[in-house]
Amino acid sequence: MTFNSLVFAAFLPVVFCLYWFVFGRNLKWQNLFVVAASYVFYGWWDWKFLILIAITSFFSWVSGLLIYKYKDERRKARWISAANIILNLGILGLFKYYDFFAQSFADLFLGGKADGILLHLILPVGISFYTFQALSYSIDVYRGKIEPTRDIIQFFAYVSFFPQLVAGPIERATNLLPQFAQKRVFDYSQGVDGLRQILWGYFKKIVIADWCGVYVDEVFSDIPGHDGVRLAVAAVLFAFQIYGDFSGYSDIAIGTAKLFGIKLMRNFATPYFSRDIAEFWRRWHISLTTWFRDYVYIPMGGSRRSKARVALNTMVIFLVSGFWHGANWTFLAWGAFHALLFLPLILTGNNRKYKEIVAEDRRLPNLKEFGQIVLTFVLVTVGWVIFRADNLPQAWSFFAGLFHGNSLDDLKFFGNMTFLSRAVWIFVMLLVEWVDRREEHGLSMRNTRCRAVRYAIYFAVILVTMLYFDDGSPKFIYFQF
Amino acid sequence: MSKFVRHCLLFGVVLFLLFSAMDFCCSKVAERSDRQPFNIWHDIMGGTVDADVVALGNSLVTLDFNTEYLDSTLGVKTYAMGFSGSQFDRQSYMYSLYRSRNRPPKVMVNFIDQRSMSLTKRVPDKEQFFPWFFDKDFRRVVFPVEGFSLADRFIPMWRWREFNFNLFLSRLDSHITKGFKYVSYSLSPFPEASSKPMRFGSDIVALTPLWEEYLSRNASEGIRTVFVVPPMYNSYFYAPGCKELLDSTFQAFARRYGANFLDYSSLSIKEDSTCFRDPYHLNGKGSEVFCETLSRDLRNLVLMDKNP
Repeated sequence: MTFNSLVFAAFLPVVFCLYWFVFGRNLKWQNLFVVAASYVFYGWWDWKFLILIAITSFFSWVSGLLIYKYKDERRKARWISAANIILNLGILGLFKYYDFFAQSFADLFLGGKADGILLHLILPVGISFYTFQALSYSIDVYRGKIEPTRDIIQFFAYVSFFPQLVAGPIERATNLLPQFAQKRVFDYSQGVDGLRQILWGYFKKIVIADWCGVYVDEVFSDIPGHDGVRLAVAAVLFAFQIYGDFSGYSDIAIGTAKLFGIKLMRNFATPYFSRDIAEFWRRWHISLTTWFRDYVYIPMGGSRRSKARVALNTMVIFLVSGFWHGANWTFLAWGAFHALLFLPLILTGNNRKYKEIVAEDRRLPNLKEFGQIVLTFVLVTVGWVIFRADNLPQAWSFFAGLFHGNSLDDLKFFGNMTFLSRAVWIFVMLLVEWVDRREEHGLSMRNTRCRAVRYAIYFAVILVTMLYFDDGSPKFIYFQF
Repeated sequence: MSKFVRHCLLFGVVLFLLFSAMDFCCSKVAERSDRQPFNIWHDIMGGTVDADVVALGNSLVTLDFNTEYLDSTLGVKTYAMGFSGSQFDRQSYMYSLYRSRNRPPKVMVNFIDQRSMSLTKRVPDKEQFFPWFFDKDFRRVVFPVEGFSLADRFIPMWRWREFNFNLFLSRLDSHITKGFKYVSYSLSPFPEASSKPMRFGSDIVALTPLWEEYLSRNASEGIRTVFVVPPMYNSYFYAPGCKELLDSTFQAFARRYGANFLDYSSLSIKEDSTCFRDPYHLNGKGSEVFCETLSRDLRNLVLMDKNP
């Protein structure tokens, strides 16, 4: 089941009512209902893959208990923790990376003949997300950051909580698990804010991302057939597509969780208003970035080592992050590209220069900030081309094509009504997010005191989103990761 | 909690009422629009077609069947009932609605070409149906073909999603008279012919029952049917073997149901690019040249009640 389907529009209110009115009095039953609803949500896609979530959940839960049991015998605890990591990463590797490595092996040693060794397994939706979430639990138990839960239902609810099951945010046990251990009380203002956030998420997905996707797909399917101007526009539109798609999903997930009295971590913080790459990475896919920081980068020594080691750590973290997105050289190249942009900042100690929101106490950025924002956006967009390309030669032909066949006539295409009527919504999105850049999401409405204006905005956003809704709307991009 | 649910329901009710009002307004604007295709549906549903000779077909009818010219030369009332991008299954329900709400014609002219004989699932300009969504007769014949859902019917504004604003916003580059669209320009240079494989041969079998029902109805009610193959620029749109199949199929229909078959595919204007808006459609000038011949044939063969 996807958020942008009519089935989900029926599923959510039903689950909401049952959750509060039928199962609300008993925490255990409520958690059990969360697990059941989440499994229905996931199983709607393919019920057979529920077994993987169950295996991941069960072994992570058991390993948590065992690690805690042997907390005074570090060696045993380490082995148990390692076994759980190997099991989970093994499942992830088998489904996501096996064919990639087998093909690469065949290319190197078997002359490309990989027919006999490829498995062609279907990649289970969201496997990278729930695997990482389960891993964080056992690692945190091992580190003594959290006590394990003895309640298996509670733990299953933590791993499978449907709003964030298939595309995050990747939650930490320290944040989410205690919420399933406490009785939830419905908070009116949190519920209203959740609905606003859901609405904003749908706007970004349906109005921005889906439209950009149509144009981007057309261009990437025939790069030589498009001139440089159109390629450049496609690159920019992909930057908005992936932002609208993924941050839209995160907003819907976080907003939905609020309806159930659960507070998920923030995943995006207006990343396209960043002044350098380091700030971008503090604002983009925050749950994954901090996961890698806490569980990979810091254990490797982080930035408290020699400069050479820091550079190595940085390179490794970006490559791993790129590879997390998929088994393709393009993702590795994308990771390496960002590492190269990040390295000068961290080696000169400038990686934490911009910790506050841009133009914190002003309405508009100054000229320098504006230039920094534009430059960062351009660099990020270059990276997105590598990310979006099917393979590295295609990415290269895209960059080469930017300098071919340009003429002013090409710009006429972008003056037609259909293009402009859709492109204008990108500016609306940026404007709204700029105004609310200090808030958790674009439609927080803290600056809009007049009730009539607030409701007019709700109706307008609902109307626009509905008018642009397409029954065959594509799935969220990050489902594939 | 219950306050939240109450407020959500209230919000939903207000939203529903507001969107219903908007839906009503949009439908009314579309219904009264002088743009095609709304104007044709308006005439059909309002019972104001009032014509003796009616042409039925796809956009070829809209651009080739010059009602202004034919009215003056034939001395009878004509109407161009073009349904852009349609196949005969769609033209068939348009005809059914036309007949149920208007006086019967004396002559039905069917424009035939390979495009209108092939089936596609795409709904052409689905917005044209919206003003009449709550008309029982309209729903009965249109919905089974177009496949509108319950959500389309009962959620206000839902059906307007992916609306083609150009239907209202685009400037009028032509004037429209009784379904005919007069276009003054010609396209130059012409694009190359489409190289896509034609599906004519397979789909005519699926459409045959509809044609037979239509022709037998006309025959039983004394309405003369005339098949017209219009001219196209250098016959671009005929794939090899396709024209022969078109001819043999409709000549057989004509023999069986007492209809006429008029083939203008080799009319001399087919090589004159100044007579075409694009390789498929005539422009205003071309439609006058074509209708000069057509009116002569219609007068001689049909209106004077002579058989070919």
